[in-house]
Amino acid sequence: MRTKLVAASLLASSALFAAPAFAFEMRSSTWATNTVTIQVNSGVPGALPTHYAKLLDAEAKIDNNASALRFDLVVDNDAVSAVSNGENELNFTSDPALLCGSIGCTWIIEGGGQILEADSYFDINYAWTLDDNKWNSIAYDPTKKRPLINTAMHELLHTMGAKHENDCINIMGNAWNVVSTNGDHTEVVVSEDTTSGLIAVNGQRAGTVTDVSVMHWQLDPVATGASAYSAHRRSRLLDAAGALLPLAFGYPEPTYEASPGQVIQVEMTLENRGTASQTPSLGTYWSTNETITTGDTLLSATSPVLNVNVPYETTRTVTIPVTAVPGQVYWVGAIVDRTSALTESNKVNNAAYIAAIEVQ
Amino acid sequence: MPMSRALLSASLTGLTALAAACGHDAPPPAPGPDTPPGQLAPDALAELAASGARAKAIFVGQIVAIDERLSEPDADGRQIPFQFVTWKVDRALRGVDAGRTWTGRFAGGTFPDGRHLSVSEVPELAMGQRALLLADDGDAGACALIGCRDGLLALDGAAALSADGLDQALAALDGGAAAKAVRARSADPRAPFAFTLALSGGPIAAPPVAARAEARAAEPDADPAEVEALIANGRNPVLR
Repeated sequence: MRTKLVAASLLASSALFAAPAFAFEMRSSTWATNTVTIQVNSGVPGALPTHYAKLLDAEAKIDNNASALRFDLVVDNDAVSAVSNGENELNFTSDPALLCGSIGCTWIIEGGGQILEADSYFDINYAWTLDDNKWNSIAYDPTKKRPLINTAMHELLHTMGAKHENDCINIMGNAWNVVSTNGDHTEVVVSEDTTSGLIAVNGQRAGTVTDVSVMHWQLDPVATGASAYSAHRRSRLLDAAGALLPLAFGYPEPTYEASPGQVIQVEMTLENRGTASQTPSLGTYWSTNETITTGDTLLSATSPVLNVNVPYETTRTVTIPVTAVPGQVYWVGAIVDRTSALTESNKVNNAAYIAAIEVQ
Repeated sequence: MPMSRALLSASLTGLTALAAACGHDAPPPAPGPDTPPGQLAPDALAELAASGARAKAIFVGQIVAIDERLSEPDADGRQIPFQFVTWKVDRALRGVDAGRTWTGRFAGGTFPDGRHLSVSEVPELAMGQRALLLADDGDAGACALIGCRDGLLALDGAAALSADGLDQALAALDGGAAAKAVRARSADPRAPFAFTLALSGGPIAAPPVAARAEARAAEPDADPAEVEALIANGRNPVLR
């Protein structure tokens, strides 16, 4: 009953930003209506108010997707959650069977070309990260846990028909590090590839949706290996010849060694999750800290063509300012739509620091 | 959702992984030397070994039969379909015997009325597939593998473990005599079984709370004025 739908291969017209073709994985069946009601167990808002707030955040972010499909998270009118009871439900439990041996699991019943029921369960005993601070997330500190909002979006996108993905950076892979991070704030959204899949199956939303973003994460094909889930690694800084810059020791995040005036290449991942192609302004910035704004020093500017299809993993070549002080640490970052020409549903994900540089 | 194996292997390799045990004085999570395709990075092997310690059986096998059966009616009369998947064991590390078969039970399949149940974490299994398996008892819960989807490492297909990768994985999983004494029960596709489909009531226990980052300066090198301006601008990085 499942069909792998191959995404239309819409390549960017700019050679610099040409993207390879990937495929989203969607169920061929979908919901009979464009708004799916999911009932969160009536005990959750009272017993787990912060968890519940994160579920509502996840709902809001998913409902910004560019397809016609939405869902409505409501409080259940009874205290029972069950598979195959005709209701779409969400609950927290310690039952390993309903969790499928994982920390989140979604059960889906299909028939007659439609998704008829979906039930998601989350592990109540898992110490979910319940805020957007990167230092509380396993993505940035291996001793921490996964953010609930990322996992909730992953599971709720299962209910919308999305399947696991392993050939491009994707929230339907390892969801916890699919974020745009600026300063200490992480911002998660429905991935571009997933958006393309939702549109392919459910059609495009009426009206215009615009949302472009930049991330310092990219697909790690080796770590993905035989897994059904895409694994992700940090975007890197390379020298002019394409070799990885030397890494400095003693820092909690990727920090490279480079010299004033040195030409380097900065990797980044751009996404367009809207309803139309965009040619946003893109700037690469030099900053004294990991918060990237237009108040920082612009190193390079361009305007890539971003079609709605797959993530664009690309590199920008820049020169480290000759005024950079040896011994000090700086950050290289990027802002997409740096001229603020687009009216977007989300501006928070328009900036990300890529990596730090300890100037030699 | 998968275990964190891929996250770790995505970010740390070799010496980097060793030094990471030293906390924030460790080298940063950045790419190191590439692991050859079809093999697992050192940290992925370590996490595989940890999963293997929870496994009752570890073996290489090929799927030779897939049967379906409904669970017994629950208190409300509901039943759901399960697949009983049988592997011929080619190579046994523990818990099963080489040359024999072992059957695991997995939620999913077709209802009598034609509807289909699928479960996000249960791998899609097909006749003839070969894999390295980390198994629980065959009739355990909704999925008979450790970590469910994570307990199956494919040996065929484009992104499969290579022969070297399999040897590497088996070496990491070899858990000694005590572990080898454990046996994994095989599921019986002919035997009736119950499965609880419903949860009554809401969450009652206060869940564990994740450690917070207060002890760490949220952004040690931040420019407070810039951060303030960013927040005042709704985190839109284009400041006016």
